[in-house]
Amino acid sequence: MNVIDIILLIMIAAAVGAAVRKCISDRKNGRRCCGNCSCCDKCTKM
Amino acid sequence: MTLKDIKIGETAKVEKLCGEGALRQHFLDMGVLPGTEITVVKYAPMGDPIELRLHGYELTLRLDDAEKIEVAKVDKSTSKEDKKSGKKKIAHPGLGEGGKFHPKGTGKALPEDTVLTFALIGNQNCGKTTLFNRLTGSKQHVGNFPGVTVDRKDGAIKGYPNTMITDLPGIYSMSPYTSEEIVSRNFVLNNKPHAIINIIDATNIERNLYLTMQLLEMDIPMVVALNMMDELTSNGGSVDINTMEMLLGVPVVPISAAKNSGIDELVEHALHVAKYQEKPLNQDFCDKTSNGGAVHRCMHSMEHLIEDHAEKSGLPLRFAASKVIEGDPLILKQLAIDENEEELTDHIVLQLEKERGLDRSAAIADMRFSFILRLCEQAVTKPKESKEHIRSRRIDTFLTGKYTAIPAFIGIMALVFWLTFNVIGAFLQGLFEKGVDELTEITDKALTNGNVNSAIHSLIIDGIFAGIGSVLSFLPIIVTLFFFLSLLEDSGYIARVAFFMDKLLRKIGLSGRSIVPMLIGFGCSVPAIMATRTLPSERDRKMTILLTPFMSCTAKLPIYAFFVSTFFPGRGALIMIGLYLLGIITGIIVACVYKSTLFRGEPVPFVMELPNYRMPSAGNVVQLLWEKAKDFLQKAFSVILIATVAVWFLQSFDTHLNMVDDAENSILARVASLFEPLMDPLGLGDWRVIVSLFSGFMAKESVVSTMEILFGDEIKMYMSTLAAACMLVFSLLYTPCVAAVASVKRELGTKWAIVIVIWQCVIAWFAALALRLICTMIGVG
Repeated sequence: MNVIDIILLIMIAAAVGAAVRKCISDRKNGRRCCGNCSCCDKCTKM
Repeated sequence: MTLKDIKIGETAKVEKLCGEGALRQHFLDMGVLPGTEITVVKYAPMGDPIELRLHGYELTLRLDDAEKIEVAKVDKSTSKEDKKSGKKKIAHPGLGEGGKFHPKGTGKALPEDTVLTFALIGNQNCGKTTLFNRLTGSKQHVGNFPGVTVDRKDGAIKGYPNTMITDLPGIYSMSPYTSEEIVSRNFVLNNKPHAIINIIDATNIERNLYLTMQLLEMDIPMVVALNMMDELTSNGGSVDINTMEMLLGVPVVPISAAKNSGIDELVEHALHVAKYQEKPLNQDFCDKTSNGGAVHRCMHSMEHLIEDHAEKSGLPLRFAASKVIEGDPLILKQLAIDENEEELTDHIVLQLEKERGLDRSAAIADMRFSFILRLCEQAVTKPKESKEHIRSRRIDTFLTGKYTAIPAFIGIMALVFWLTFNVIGAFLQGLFEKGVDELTEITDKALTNGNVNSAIHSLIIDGIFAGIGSVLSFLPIIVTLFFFLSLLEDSGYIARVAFFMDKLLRKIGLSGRSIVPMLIGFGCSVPAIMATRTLPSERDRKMTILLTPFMSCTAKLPIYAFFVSTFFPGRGALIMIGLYLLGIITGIIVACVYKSTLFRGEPVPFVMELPNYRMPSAGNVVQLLWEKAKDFLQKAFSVILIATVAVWFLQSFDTHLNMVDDAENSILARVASLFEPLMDPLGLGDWRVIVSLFSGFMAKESVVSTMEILFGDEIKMYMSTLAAACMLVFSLLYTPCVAAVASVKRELGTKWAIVIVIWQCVIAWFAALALRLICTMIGVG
């Protein structure tokens, strides 16, 4: 493995780590919806 | 004579409202009370439900419910609706401005560092979302109301970081008819916002003011935002703001959220009343002289009786008193009055009913509407019929016509799907794919030139780029479909669909309102499941949630498109439409099974407003599409990235963590092979297909990315056309993604979430097997 390999591995690990943290924090904050806020609000129109 | 006997175009006056319970209260809250004039506008294409006009707006009602309303015909020429209001000029009361309660710069202001909290409350279809977006811009946060399954939106008012405005669900009253009404009420009572911003549709003032009156009873500083003033004035109507302000006792600010006018003034007034805690000047709306003052005396007696209890429980006195009179069980429980007092309240109410000649709920509703009518007579000049209403009527002649409604609906949906898959979406998708391919090639060359380790090279190109890239290219199609669905809903058309589909949906045990979550389900199951919260019946809600997975969501589009382009080129539209129809038909069959087993009983009554058709605001639509695109991209770079890397790892390494040359020796292959006997009968007994289906549980888009990684370009070598068709059917019907299952868990509990996963897989398995058997028998594939 050379330096570039190590850098790439670190970047991939960081990206995956950020993704995992996002999924966990979304669950913790109760963010269940798809992010389509207006759609959720519209659903109360009927 | 009942409302059911009134013909189209005829007007009748309500004499008696039969029925009982929450539905009857809902009728009263919508303005259907003794003395109200109602005109029958039309019948739905299948003869039921009917569309009525009262208090200047349209309401739909089933014939069975219309039978509960006793009426007497009136001559249209003497109808109250045609009377013009008179008004006399008064000075501007100046509420919510410095110098009225106190000179500018004085008064007991809240500390400077206080975060001023606001509740934004209003009816449905009054422009609340538009106003909220104007007030907060893009700085919104989506979360949950604790303990209940209703999402909340918070945001700071633009330019005022020390504020927080909470958007509450659109409601018609503070009575506990739906969970949204309870949530809004509890938010105001428990969270005690510093002020309320009550948004009213100026073109539908009478009905909207009913909620206003209940909000005033809560004794919280309040500002009324009179929205859609541009529509009212352009049709020759007007509102005497000074008079309205004087009568309501709170600042009234005319605005047009769509045109962004009056917003600054609204913000100024809202901040002022919140900062100086200027409560409503008037709460006593009962007329001493009307009907012998029965309601007036009842209300004040009740206030005196429960005064100490209201103070102890932290409830506003007037609000508590009116709810006790209405017999609101939640408030009665909260007040915890003793036996003697309970007896006294019963006697007070009995006396009211005897003197007034109306039951308790009708008497209170009548008191409120009487005040509203007096206010409108003094302050509102209504146009005879607005341009928007005339336009809506003309459009409805075709879109809800007896012979044209359903063909128009099918035509519109077909047009939406054709534009999405064959025209706009397909064109944009082609561009995206080109871009992704170019980027992949450049990265591949760079990695080769940099002598990157082969495993890492493979992870990046064959794993991440192949996986995420294949999913990203479907973004245009998903966004396009969402755009059209939002357009249909925002314009008011979906309400019409619910109207004429009601009779059809009743055959499968649901009401017309269930069509809304189902149509949203074609976009995404998660908001569709949440949209079921507006269904007042728990039975209807449960059943609609269980049927939502049969409406094929946009996340499955990449799966269909992938297999169609590989195995069925040139027949894309036919196969897609076929799949959607299959999902719907399977849903109908399952619904019929539910109706006679798990969910026996009648569907919920159908009471729904029909708003005028409106052109959706471009700003709202763009924001919505951006949010959808953003969420899709976030999902791609989070969940799908994780799935892609996980799949790559599991299929590149064996159980001893050595890299494998043949993926068949990998960890993934070993786990998936356990399920091969189960999937063999469907022709899907390949471990790679099984792994792809598993990854679809995390996010449906992952199925394609996983297949790309595992099969590369050689899928046709390993899968027959018939197997591809079975794969399509299985993907259509099997378990929804984890986000949708989590929504089901939140709405119905863990048991139902597990049931839905297993049940959908079982149905998918049998449907795919049936397809395989039929095709084999007729010699196809």
